[in-house]
Amino acid sequence: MLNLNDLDVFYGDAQALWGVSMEVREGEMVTLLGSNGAGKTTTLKTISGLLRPRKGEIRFGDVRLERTEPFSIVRYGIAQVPEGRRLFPNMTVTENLLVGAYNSRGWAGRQSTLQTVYKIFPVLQQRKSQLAGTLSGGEQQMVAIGRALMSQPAILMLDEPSLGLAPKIVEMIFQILKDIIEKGTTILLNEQNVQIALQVAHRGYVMESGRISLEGEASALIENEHVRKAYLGL
Amino acid sequence: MGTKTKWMSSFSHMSRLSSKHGFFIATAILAILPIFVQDPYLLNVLIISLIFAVLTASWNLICGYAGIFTFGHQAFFGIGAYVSALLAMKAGISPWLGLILGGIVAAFLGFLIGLPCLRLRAAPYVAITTLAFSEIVRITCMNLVDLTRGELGLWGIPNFPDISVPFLGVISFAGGVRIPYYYLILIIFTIAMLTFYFLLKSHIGLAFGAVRDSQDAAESLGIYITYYKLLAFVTSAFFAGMVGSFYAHYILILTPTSVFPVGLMIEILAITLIGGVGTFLGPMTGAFLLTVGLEYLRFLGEYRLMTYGILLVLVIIFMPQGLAKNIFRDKAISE
Amino acid sequence: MITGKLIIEQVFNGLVLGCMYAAVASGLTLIWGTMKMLNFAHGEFYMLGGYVLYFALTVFGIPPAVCLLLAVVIVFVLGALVEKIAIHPLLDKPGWELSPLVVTVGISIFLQNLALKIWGESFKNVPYFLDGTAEFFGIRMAYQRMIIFFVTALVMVGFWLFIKRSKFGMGLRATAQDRDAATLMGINVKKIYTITFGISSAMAALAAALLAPIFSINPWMGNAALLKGFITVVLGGLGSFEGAILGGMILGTAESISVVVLSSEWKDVVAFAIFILVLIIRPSGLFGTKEW
Repeated sequence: MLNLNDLDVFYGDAQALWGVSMEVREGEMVTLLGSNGAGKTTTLKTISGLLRPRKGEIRFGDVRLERTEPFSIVRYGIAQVPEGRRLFPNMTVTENLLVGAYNSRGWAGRQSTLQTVYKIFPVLQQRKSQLAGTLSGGEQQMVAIGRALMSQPAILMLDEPSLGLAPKIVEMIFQILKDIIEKGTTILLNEQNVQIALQVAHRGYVMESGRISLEGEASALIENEHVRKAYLGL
Repeated sequence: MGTKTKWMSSFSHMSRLSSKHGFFIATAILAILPIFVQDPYLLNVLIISLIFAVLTASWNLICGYAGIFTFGHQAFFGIGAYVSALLAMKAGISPWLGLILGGIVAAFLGFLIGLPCLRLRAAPYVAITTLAFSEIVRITCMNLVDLTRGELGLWGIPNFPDISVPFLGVISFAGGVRIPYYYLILIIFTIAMLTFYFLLKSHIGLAFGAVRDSQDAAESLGIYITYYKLLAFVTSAFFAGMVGSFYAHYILILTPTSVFPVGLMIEILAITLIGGVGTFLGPMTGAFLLTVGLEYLRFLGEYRLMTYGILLVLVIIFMPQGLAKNIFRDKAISE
Repeated sequence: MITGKLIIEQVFNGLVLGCMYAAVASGLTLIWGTMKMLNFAHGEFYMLGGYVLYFALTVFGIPPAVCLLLAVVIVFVLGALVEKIAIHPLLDKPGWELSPLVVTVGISIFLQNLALKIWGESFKNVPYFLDGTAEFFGIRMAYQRMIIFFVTALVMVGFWLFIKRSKFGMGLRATAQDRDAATLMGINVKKIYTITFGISSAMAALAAALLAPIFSINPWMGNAALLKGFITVVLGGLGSFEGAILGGMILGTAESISVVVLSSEWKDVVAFAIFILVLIIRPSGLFGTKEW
C-alpha cells in the first residue's frame, strides 16, 4: 500500500536519511524502532509532505507522493498523529476533533465519525467542551488519535504515542490501536517503547543513524540478539 | 591536507574579513576621499551617508545586538537636533557643547522611554510603544510653536564656530563649506563606532547578547537585565542625539517633519536590514549603499520612490540575510 | 463652553471613530494572529479603499452601497495578490520576524507614491451618503455617522461569526494556533494566509470608504490609519479581536473628548499617552495574548 524507495532526506545541508526503503501492506501494523535522532520522525514527516526527499520516491498505491503538497496527502488518506500531540490549545475537544476531518473524505460524515470516536474514547465525550490545552497527557493523546481518525484515513501514522504517558494509559492506547487494525485501518508507528511495539505490531524496521538496519516480522525481531541488547536491555 | 584544500582554506581565510579590519580600511578610505572628491554635492551625499551610518549603527546597537526592536529611534535624533539648535539660539550655548548636550538630553529621553518598555516582552509591543512615544515627541515639538516655530521652521541655526586645530590653524564652518563638516562627521562616526566596538567586546556586549537570545535564561543567570536594557537605550539614544545635533548645525534649519517623521525610522530600518542586522559593519554599508543609491535614482524623477519601494521588496525577497552578513562573516564581536 | 451635552455628543462621535479604529485594527490583529507578522502596507489598502469609493461614487455615480461593496471586493483581491507575490516567497526562509515587515514597508512606499503619481496630491472630497442629522433627547447625530456605526458593527459581527463558525474560520484558527499541526490536518496554510490578507485589507478599505465623506481622500491618508491601527492593536492586546474593538473604542473616545476639552492639536498626544499608561499597567494589553 505504502512504499518508500531509497529516500535521501536533508535538513538544509545535513543528511538525515540515507537510502531508506520500507513498505507497509494493507491491514498491517508496522513499527519503526530506534533511539532518538535515528530518523523515525524525519521519515514520518517526509511521508506527510512536511519534508521533501532529495532522492527516492514514495508510492501510495500507484500514486507518487514525494512532490505532493502536504494538505493533499491528507486527502489521499494518510493521517499523522504528530509527536507531542500538537493539539490546538485554544479549541475545545470537539473542535479539535472536527478539524481532523477538515480536508478529507471524512468531512461529509464528520458528525457520525465524531460519535464513533467518542465511543472509542468515552472519556472525551465527558470533556468535549473543555479546552484541549487543559487536558491531561493521556487525554490529549486520545484527542490526537481521535483527531487523526476523523479523516477516515487509509493509513494512520503515529509518532511516539507512548511518550510521557503512564504505563496503564499506554496499554490502553495500544489496545485501541489493535482494535483499529481489526477494523481495517493500516498503521505505521514510531515507538521508542520497543517492548510494547513489538508485542502489538506485525512487522518492524529498526532505524539507526538515518538508515534501516534491521527488518522483519515482529516475532523475529523480539528474538533478535541486537534488538534485545540495544533496545530491550537484555 | 591536499594542495587544493590548503589553497582553498587560505583563500577563505582571506575572504573572512573581520569587522575590525573592514572598519579600519573603510575609515581610511573615507579619510582620504576628500582629496579626490571636491564637488560639494557629492560631499553632501557622503556627509548624509555618514549621518545615517551613525544613526543606524546606534539603532543596530539596541536592536541588532541587544535584541530590543524599537521603532521610535528618530525621536532621539530630532531631540538632539532641536535641543542643540535652541540652546545655541536662545541661550547662546556653543554648538560644540550642543553636540554633547544634544546627546545627553536624547540619552535622558532614551532612559524615559526605556522604563515602560522594560516589562514588555513581545517585540511588537516595544516597537509600537516606542513609536507612540516618538509621535508624542514630534507632535509636542510641532505644537510648542512659540519655542520651536513648529512647521514654520526653525531658521538661522548657527553653524559650528571657528575652531583652532594644531598644525591646521583655524577651521571655519561658515559659508557653506563642506570639507570641515565632512571631517567632523567622520570623527563623530569614528568615535561612535569605536565606542560601540569596545562596548560590544566587553562584558556589556555579552550581556546584550544574553538579553537578545533569551530574556528568561539571562534572568536566571543573574544578569541584571534592567540595567543592561536601560544602558542599551541610553547609549543608542546618546549617539543618535549627538548626530542629530550635528545635523542641526549643518543644515541650519529644522522642522518637525524633517527630523521626526516615521519615514526616518523606516529608512533606518531598511538600511540596517539591507546592510545586515546585528553585524558591526552592516549599518554603515547599508547607509552608504542606500543613500548613494537613492541619489542615483534621482534621474527617475517622479518614479524614484516607487522604484525604491520595489527595490526594497526585491532585495528582501532575494537576500533575506542582508548584504553585510554575506560578506563580513562575523557572529560575535569578540572574534 | 463645555456642556454635558457636548461631552455626550463627543462620546458618540468617539464611538463612531472607534468603530473605524476597530475595523482597521481587526485586520492587523487578524494578520498577526494567523501569520505572526506585522503588515506595514495596511494603511495603503485603507487608502486604496478610499480612492475606489471616490471614483465609484463621484466619477461613475454608482450608489453608495454598491461603492462600498466594490471597495471591499477590489481591495480584497489586491490584498490577496500582494500576499501571493510578495509575502509567499518569504514563508519558509529565516528571519520571518523582520522580513515581511520590511517587505510591506517597501510595498507601502510603492503604493503611496503610485497613488501620488496617478491621482496627484490634491485632497479629494466625497459627498455624504445621506445628508442630515437625527436628534435623540437633544443629542444630534449625523446620519452619515450612524451609517458608519451600523455598517461597521454589522461587519464586525459578521467577521466574528465567520471566524468562529465557518469551516474556513476553523482552518484559520487552527493555523493561528499551530501551523504545522494544521498542515497535518490537511489545511492549505498558504491559501489561508492569502485569504486572511485579503480579508484584512478589505476591512481596512471598508473603514476608509465609510469615513471618506468625513475625512478627505489623499495618498497619505494611510499613515495615520496605520499608526492608530497599530496602537489600537497593541492597546487591546496583540492577536485579540475583542481587544481591537475595545481598544478602538477607548482610543476613539479619548480623542474625541480631548478635542473639546483640550484642543485638536493635542488629541493624539493624549491618546498616545493613555496608550502608554495602559501598557505600563497591563504590559500585554487589555486582553493579553488571547488567541483566535
